[in-house]
Amino acid sequence: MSTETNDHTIGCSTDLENESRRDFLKQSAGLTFCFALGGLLGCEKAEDIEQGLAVSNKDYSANVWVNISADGKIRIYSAADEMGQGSMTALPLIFAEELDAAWEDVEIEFSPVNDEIYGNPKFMGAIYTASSMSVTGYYDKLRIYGAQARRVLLDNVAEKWQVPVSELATEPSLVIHKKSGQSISYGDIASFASVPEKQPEITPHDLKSPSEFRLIGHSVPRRDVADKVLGTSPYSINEDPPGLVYGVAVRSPVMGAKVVKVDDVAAREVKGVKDVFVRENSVVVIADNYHSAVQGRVKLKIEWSRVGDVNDFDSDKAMQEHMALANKLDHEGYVWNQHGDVHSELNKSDKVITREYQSDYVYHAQMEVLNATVWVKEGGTQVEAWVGTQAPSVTLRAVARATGIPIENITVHRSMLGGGFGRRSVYEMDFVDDAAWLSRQLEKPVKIIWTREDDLAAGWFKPMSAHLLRATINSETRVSAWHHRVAVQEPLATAETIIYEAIDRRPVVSMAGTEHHIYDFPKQLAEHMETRPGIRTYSVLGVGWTPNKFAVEGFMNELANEQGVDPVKFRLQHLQHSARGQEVLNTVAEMADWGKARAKGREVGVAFAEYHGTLIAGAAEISITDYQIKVHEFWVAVDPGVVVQPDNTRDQIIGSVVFGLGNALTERITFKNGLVQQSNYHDYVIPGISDVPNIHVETLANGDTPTGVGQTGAVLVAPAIACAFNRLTGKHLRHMPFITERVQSALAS
Amino acid sequence: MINLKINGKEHNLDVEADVPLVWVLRDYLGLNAVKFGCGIAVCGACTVHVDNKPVRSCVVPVGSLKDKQITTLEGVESDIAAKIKKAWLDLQVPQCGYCQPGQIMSVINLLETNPNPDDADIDDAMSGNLCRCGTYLKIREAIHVAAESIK
Repeated sequence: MSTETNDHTIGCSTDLENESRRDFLKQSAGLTFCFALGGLLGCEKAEDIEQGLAVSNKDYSANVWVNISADGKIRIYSAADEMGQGSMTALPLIFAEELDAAWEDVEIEFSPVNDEIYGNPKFMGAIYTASSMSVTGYYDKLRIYGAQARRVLLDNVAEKWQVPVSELATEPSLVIHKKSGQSISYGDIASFASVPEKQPEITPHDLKSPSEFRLIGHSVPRRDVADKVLGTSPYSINEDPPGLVYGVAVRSPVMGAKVVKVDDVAAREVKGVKDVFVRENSVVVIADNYHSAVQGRVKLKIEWSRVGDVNDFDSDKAMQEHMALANKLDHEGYVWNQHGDVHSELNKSDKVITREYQSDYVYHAQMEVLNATVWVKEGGTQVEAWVGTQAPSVTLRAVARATGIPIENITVHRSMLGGGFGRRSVYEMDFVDDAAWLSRQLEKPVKIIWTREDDLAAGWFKPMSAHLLRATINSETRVSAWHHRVAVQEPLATAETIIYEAIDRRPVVSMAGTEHHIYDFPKQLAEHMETRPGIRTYSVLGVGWTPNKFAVEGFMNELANEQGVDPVKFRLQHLQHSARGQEVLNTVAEMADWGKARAKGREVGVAFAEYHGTLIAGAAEISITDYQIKVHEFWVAVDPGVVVQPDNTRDQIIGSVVFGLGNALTERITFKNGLVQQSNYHDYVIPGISDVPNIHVETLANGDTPTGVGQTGAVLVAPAIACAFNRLTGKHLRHMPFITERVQSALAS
Repeated sequence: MINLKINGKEHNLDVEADVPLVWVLRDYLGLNAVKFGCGIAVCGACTVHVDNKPVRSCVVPVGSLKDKQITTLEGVESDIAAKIKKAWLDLQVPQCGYCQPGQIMSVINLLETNPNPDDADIDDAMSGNLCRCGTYLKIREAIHVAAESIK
């Protein structure tokens, strides 16, 4: 009866013996399928889950993914959060595909916050929406669950009509018996069906073949879009529970600093300000309206404790130190990836090519300012929290931590996210913590909204990194040994210390993309030179990948140059074992008319990357005016294995290219005296509409399983621009972003 | 007391004159389409119309709005606005969606004053509306589609 190879399997539904379950089914008038861990059939907690009541993080054995009601409505849970990436639509769609549900019958809800049931297998089993991992993490599981639910419907009809199940087929939301010409809707089945104790077995053979897909691979409108056009989408910043007080929180500008002294006299004089709360590492002004809270916040004078050297941190100086560390070859780093003896290969050569690459700190710049609304009520026995979060179970635990109230009594409402890019998954949940703590003190609903300035001042940035690359080339102009040393702060080491220990201190965030499975380098070594500057760093879209691929692909360009080989051809020489890689690169070369002369003052450059199994290539056509780079055209060819939503795949690629464009050209966070120097969108400049090139995307799907899309385009932009810059000027850009002064100094070099 | 004309209705509100319009719309009147993004009139998420012209409501004190007509996304009723919203939906423009009400308010003004904008006109009119999800190409396409459908 078990179906999957691991223990996480199996479909079941509520049986009708239990009176309360009978009530539940009456209420929801239909059939609720539970998919239990370890083959357990009971759905004891289905009622609670369905009704959105408090959900324990521990006790659940039952697992509700879908409910089919007698009126034909099919409710499917999305385990992933929605921040514009479309997985709130894509995940239920995968389930609906194998259920063979008519898409118009499907209603989507966010799943309850329960990792054990709804966790992403690719995120250590946590509900965690990040890293382009939602579709890829849930794909197999949702197909099997959907197929099981369909099979239960078929079995029920076979029994009712007394026909062999093999004679039955489905059309969207219908079971059909061709011989007799009978058909019955899923809703009608739900009105009489029960789910057997013995669960239907689903093998890969029982799943649809891609040619039978009606939804996967076909563009379906996203369900969240209509509200977003009307302005009614439920972001947490809109929440307005009765009796709400407004707050502004200031967190320490230097990580770990504590409040020493607060002068809040002027703040308290602001009309509307009700109180100022001083916590160990934050100060919160509350008021009866938000503007007053902001005015009060501006008048605060806070003295913070010193955190050693961090108070002297200067990012320019730190970059030099990072670079020196990467260059210190007698200082061995953490071996992230190794094949063959790179050192002896390099040591025996007198033609080792060596280059340095650098990338600055990058900020998320999500449009919705950080905020959370928390309401501790009923004497602390009940808590409601409204949060746009990429990690709802982490949020749940953060609310519990701040309030001292057990998680069983806490409900986290999963709001829409006005952009995430990693910021709303930070383990500390700093933007939730103060609202939760304060609501506990006041026993009132509290909404904390950070100012943009405070978000930058206490941001969790993509870390700066310094790269040393070394390689030797053989007589066939191919890489014979590849050595990549990255001096970088691993974000997990400070932001997620428990996880970091649990994974044996592997620098999985900062080193991602320095290992090469697709380029067939015979000998390769990637080393992490850990730095601990004490700066808040975390995942930001394309973290690790973007700076690392900039270094890798920039170096590939320079190696091609040194050999006098065309950069596309040079890469193809290293893709001899990857037909998919060749196709992606050849496709982009064709799209960009590679080899064709460009208009005067323009040139085109190329980049290639593997990203968690997704293969992607890009080409940029640029010009330079007054030391400013303008990207006119950008071409992308991407092979994410399987494409679940073609239109949305294209939109996500384009979006990530725009993100990568900002990272490549303008976006940088700098520090002086431990303090962030940028404060808002005027000095942290992200792309606007006139900066964006024409972006052309071609999607290939040459795999068996989807490997993710969301962030992949970002990694191509800087190296493709650097390649074009080199072809246009003969010079090299090796420090991202390519701000005016760096372009100027590259041209003067 | 401050008197404001919003979406054709008069409101008498007990609010200080220096409070930015965005917070009065959102927190006093529950008009939540307008969004707060930067507070310094750079990102455009808070764009609404005052006397039919787009303004950044995060820097407009309500005390300056006596006798002005304020329009938010909830209150736009023109055929042009309907066509724009339809194009936005048909082309699936929004991703996270947070900036989109501000984008749409800027587009309404653009197409009301220039029914046939080229890409340069669009860049001019929309340069003050940022979108971190990078939906700009869809925005441009949807503006052309809406302009075409209004003809």
